[in-house]
Amino acid sequence: MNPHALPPAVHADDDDLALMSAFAAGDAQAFEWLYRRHHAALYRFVRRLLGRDGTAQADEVFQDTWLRVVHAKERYVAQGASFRTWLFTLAHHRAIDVLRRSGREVVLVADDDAEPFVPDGTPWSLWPRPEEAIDDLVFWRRAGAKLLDCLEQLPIAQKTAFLLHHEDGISLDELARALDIGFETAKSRLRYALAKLRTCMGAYLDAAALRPRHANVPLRLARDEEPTP
Amino acid sequence: MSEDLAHDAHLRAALRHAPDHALVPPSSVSQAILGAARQAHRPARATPAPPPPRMRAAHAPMWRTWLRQLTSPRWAGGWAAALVAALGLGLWLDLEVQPVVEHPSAVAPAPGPARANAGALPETPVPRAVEPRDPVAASVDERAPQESASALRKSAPVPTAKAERQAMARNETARTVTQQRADSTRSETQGPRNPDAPVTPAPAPVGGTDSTSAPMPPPATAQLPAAPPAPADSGVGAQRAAAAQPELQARASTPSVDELRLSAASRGGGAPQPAASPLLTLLQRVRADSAAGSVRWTWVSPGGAAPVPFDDAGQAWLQRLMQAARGRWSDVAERGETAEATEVRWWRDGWPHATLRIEADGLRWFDANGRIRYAPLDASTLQRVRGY
Repeated sequence: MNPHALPPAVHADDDDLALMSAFAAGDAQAFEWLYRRHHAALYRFVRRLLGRDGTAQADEVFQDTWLRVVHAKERYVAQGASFRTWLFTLAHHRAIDVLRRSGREVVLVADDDAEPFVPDGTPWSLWPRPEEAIDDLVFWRRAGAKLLDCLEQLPIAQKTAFLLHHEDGISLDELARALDIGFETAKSRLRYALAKLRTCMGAYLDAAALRPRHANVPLRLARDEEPTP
Repeated sequence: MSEDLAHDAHLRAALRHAPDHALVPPSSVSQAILGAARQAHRPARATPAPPPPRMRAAHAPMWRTWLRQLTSPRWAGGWAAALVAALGLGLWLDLEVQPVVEHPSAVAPAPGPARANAGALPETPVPRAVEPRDPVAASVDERAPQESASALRKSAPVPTAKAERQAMARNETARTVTQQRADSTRSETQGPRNPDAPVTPAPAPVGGTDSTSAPMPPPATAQLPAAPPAPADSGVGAQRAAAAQPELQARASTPSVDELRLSAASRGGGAPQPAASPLLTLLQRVRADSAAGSVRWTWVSPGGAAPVPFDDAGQAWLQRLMQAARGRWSDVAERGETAEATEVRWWRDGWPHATLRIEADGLRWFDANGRIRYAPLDASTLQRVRGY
């Protein structure tokens, strides 16, 4: 690389590959665009992956992930996966290292759970049916908090599959390649994760059976109406 | 993809509304990351420069890292201090055991605490009697030997292995020199010689502790008047050199020491034993006390009737007397004749210190502890020193 060559002009709307190429060519501004684009999602992913017990290590994992991107700028080659997938995969591997270093048990092979999943606490009885649409913000905030509790109960492999698939929109094929696992394995992990989360959220509970206990609570909550747990 | 693995809209909605959805990394972390990204491009844009030493040190061999640390200012200061300390110690040890080659016109070193160890001094080529002991240690005061001995013990350096090796090497060298001189003396005495030539005493041994050497007088030490025990300086040296000059001239005109000693021995009825000059010891003691200013010396001068302070004039007279009797002192048992003798007495803080009797044929010194020393002198010299 000619060090005196001007870096290519980059724009905020360039795709990740173009920005990464510009960064590798010597444009630090391209990296800032990349960072602005992915930093919040990656930080959220790391925090959720590590859980509440690993909050203290989240900053370390997040920073190390981006530093690896910086150091690998010239070696980065898009091999079928997007920059975002590669970035989240780096964070996943780094999180696994931190969890192992901290002495926590890391179960990566959780593709077939022998034991039935019994969620901690009382299942949430207000989970709507798939066809129901709820536009109440308070409801979703409470649902979000409940979902984070449920995520804490998932093995990290299933948690990773769920978060990468549902939060970051990574397909199963890309998930399998990024995690260097088979497609069926990725599919299995995601299935287990969804099943456990739905169980935890009460999605499989009989709504009719729950209604007598919460007879006064309508299924579709009005905005700003406080639901009764 | 099966239906149940499709994106669950409710779960995704819950994720989007989770309490941690608005979390962002701390600004410090972001600044660190962006700073690292900017830093990563500086070497690529500019001409590659050698990394700073501390960065290279991480990849350098272990010995190079240690060497760099040892040459760092912090370690260099320590090394310099240790080197200076070692140099000072070495110089001090060398000064302590350095053999002094005495020259007739040379300046005798001031008595120091380590002179007791300086038994391996080479003999001066001037044939004369030698004083075997440290003048300070040979003080006539009863308390003085104990004090001097304790002072010597205190001031003497702790013998180290190196010092012992040096002493052994010097003793070996001195033994060799002594043997050579003894051989040369033996050849002289065995060969044809002039019967009128004065008897030249054998050179003093340079190894005082050497039992294999011939029985000779102990090693020579300073005989010239010296300042109180203190490091010698050039001023004192010049004074001593000047004082030594008339002595050498007078020595040429005076009878041989051995002739006088032999005559004194014939009169005293015993072989004389060379002894240190009591006058030198007295003069050093007086000067040391004068420097300290704590002791009052008085004396009855030759022809005097009552004790008077032993002032500079008295000390000058004592110095002349000491030079005249230099190298002639020997231990005797006889108290001598009292007739036609002039007595000189000294008191130290009112306590009798010593008595000098100027007799018809020499000087007789009486210590307070009963020791008697005698120095034969010719009549002209005695007549000269008798007048104060």
